[in-house]
Amino acid sequence: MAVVGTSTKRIDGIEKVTGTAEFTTDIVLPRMIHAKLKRSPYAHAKILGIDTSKAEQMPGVRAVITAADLPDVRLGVLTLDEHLLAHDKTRLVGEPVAAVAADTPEIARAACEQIEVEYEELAPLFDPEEAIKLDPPVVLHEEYEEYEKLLEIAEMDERPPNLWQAYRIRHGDIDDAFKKAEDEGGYIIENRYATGYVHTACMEPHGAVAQWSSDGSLTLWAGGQSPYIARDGLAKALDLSPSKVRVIVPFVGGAFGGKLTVKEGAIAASLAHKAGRPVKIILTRAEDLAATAARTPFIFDIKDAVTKDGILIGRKVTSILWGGGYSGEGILKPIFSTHLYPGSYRLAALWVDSYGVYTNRVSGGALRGYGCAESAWAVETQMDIIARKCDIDAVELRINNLLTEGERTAITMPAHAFSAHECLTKCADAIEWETPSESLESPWYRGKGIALGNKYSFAPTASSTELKVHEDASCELRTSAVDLGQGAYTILTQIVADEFGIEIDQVKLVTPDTAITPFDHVAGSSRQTFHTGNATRMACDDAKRQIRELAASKLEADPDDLEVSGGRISVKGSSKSIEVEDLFVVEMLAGKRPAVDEIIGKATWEVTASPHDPNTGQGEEPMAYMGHGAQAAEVEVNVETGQVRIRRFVSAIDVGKAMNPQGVEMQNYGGGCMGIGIALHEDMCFDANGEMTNASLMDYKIPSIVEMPLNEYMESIIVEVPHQHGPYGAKGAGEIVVVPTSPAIGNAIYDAIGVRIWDQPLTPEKVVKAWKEKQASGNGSGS
Amino acid sequence: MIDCHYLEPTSVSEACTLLVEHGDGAKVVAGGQSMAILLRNGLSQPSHLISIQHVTGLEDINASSEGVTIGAKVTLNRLNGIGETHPTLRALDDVVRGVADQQIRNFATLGGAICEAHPASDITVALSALHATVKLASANGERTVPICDFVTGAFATAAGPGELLTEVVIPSFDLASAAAAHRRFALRAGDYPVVGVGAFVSLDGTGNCEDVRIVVGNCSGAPVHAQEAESRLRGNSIVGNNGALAEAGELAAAHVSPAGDPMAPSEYKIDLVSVLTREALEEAITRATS
Repeated sequence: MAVVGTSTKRIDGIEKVTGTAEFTTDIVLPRMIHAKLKRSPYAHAKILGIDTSKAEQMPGVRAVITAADLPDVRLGVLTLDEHLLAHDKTRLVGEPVAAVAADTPEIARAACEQIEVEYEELAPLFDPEEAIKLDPPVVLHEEYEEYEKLLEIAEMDERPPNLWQAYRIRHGDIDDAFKKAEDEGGYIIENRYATGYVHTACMEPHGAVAQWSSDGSLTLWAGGQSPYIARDGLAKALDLSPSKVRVIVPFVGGAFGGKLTVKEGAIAASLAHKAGRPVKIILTRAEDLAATAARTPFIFDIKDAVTKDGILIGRKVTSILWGGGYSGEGILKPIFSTHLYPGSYRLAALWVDSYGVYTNRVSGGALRGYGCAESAWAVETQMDIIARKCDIDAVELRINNLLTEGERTAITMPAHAFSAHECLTKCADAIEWETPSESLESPWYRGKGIALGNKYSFAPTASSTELKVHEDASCELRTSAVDLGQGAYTILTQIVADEFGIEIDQVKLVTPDTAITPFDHVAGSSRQTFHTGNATRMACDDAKRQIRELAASKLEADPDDLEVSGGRISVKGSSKSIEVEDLFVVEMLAGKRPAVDEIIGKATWEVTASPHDPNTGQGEEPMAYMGHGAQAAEVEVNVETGQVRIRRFVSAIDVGKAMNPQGVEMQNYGGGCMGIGIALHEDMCFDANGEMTNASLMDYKIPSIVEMPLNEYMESIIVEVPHQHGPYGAKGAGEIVVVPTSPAIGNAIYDAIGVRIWDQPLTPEKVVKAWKEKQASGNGSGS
Repeated sequence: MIDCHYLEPTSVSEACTLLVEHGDGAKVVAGGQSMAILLRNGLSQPSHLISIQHVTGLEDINASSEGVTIGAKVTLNRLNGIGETHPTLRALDDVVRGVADQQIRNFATLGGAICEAHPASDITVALSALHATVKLASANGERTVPICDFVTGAFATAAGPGELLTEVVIPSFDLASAAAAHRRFALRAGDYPVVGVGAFVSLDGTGNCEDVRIVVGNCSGAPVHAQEAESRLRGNSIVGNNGALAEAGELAAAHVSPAGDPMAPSEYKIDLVSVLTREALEEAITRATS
């Protein structure tokens, strides 16, 4: 019976619910000690000297390190601009400047307080629009030109000294588009949007355990998104050959893009080396929120040319990613965020200038949607504004502008398995789009909003898997794909069970361990089902090929005439068959062994792509695939308190093939919750010195269940338009579920009270302010 | 790791003796819901934690013609719905159901919530509007202090050395012509409010306002008494007089100058004071007239 496509139970469910699942923090090794970090209190300061002598003399302290103990290498994703421990300068509050390993976390913390760092405070720079000037008041990286860079940025006459990313799109004749709109009675619609500071705030904070072996090799346990990215990062940071580093990924308590690198792990490893003992580091909640990468804000200036009939003919965008002290994992965001400027729409002319700048705030990182969830805020609010301007229904206007199957977007991405229309109409039907919201008694107002989105999955990329077949016909899948909670292990297990016609519990997973499991790029960019899923199918095929070849002589048949299912190998169209077990022989004192070789299928699934020209944004197919989704919200707004209640929420996403429908539903609900939080509640706040002022879960407002719509008002719709390259037609679901959320809610607020709030999150304070402004001016502040 | 002595007296007098013995370093803990956070964040570093978990006699709720007496150790969860059995306490009921969550309310005590003196505590605001008093026991006997005098500022109370809060007394009033209500607004369910307002009104035979009390929370270290707003209403017609209530709201807003919170700047908090004052008054009047 087919297992793929059914809602099998999560294979990690029992372990997680009963508390036996092992996370990084659960790992205890003999002689293990604990690390704490000494962090900079200044956003921008020169380090004149560090005196660790008092800390070193404290009883129970086993090792203290500063930058002087580490190889002098700069690290980074594509621009190598960051030392593991601050070298001569700190560029954000909370940047680690020293680290201590001690018998207990308390001693380590107390020892950190005894480390004396002499700083010379420098003027900090927080404003991204100041930062991007050719002559900024402050330069963060004086030695930028000398840094190693693995990615070319757009050519510029003169690089603003705080700029680390520049990317352009030049498609079509943009001037002509604006002229046409002007001359032919169309519209030019220009607005500025901003997103907020959001943190992944995973249940499990960042942490790692590091242990060295006597042969000079390192083992690191860390709940991250990619054991291979972690391995190579550790090797680079510690000046080791990657083969000397083994990374094991235990269960992960959420990542959402925030656990791509293992900075803390590398520090723990360095301490462990110095102390000669295993070292564990677990960040506190405050450290996790204030000092690990965040989804930092974008500022979008967007100008659209539209015909009088509501057809988008040109779009011009200038955007700045408000980066922090280091470029970090945000490095590609100014590029990847541009994917949504054409989005799912036909655009004859697109002109984009997208930048990333350094400021003395927390560094920019990934968070579910990597740039697209941000640019969707600008684009899909624009679409609502355009619809109202042209007096065309917002769903109809979108449909009128959609691409059709086979067309390419303005950035040369083919529209394949193009389900935008289906997602949009199913979503609209579910929220009863045609029926306006009921009127409520003052001060409450009700309204509906909708938004469309899509999410690329990046390329080039690859996933490899190995599949070993045991004598009892059970299968063991070795994968470096990581289950972050998204359900990857369950889906991969389903695929193996399906391919071999065996039960779920006959599949065993060997989870990420770089000593054992083969390369997988990353659990990110919604790629695990698509890429690892394909690799898993292919490894199954390879193992079945080996089985057929081994069985051919026994069955006196051609291997191509054999089929493998349910632990048996049978000759097609005949009753002749043997068991998988028959391919094994008994060895004295050793049980069974493979008669010839171990049956191990292996495969690599690879998607190639060449980077686009950073000066034009044009090239070959840039991404592996794109997934589509639409979301709609009905909100209730109290104009006196500014409270926004989500009364109804619908999320319709296309997954190509729902490998595990319940898993897709959970993505819809979970993503909806996260998206609602980002739209309305979550905001990292900073004081004038650049320090986060709400670094606790009491003050950083992740929404609670009470902020969600009641069960029957939260609807998940699964759309299945198969992708030609997806396993079983499947596409990923992990990120698209947060892409349209903010604009859907913002558009609903406009529908309810006629005001636009341009910068996220749409907090009660901003609602009240916008409403008061509207009352004062006698009309809306929008459109 | 919290490095302090943990003592478990079994009577009020024993607890008071320990408080005197260990002086400033001694802190009382009951349900631990506030204390655990203070300890973890290093905001309180006691040498001795005196748990009153085993002290008996502090868990009763008694009603008499004078009023309702609530023991300091009564949990917030026991107060959920208290307005049904003791209708004069409906304003306290308004508050309790919004405090934190079920798990916390199962442990958090009324005395603990008052003694923490958190500037955003709704409980103190509602009790102030209800003219509540607290009873403090010590080796020298007992004394009674109005709750509005007991909470003196952010995390500060008038409890003297060796004093233990043992009970809260909410005086009775004529339900036929008086009532209280509390309104709050929080950014997220269970959070401390951005602003909370408690209002008490009593009406004379003609339906005019005989007495009124308006208390605003989280706009200063301790609850603020909005006197100008009260003066606007006292002696005047208020039933169905929306204009007067709105004016009272504006006067209450004009009375406060709160510091901003990370996601709620001062101006927004002032706006909320106006709205919530009006709403609390409306609800109190509705209760007093129904």
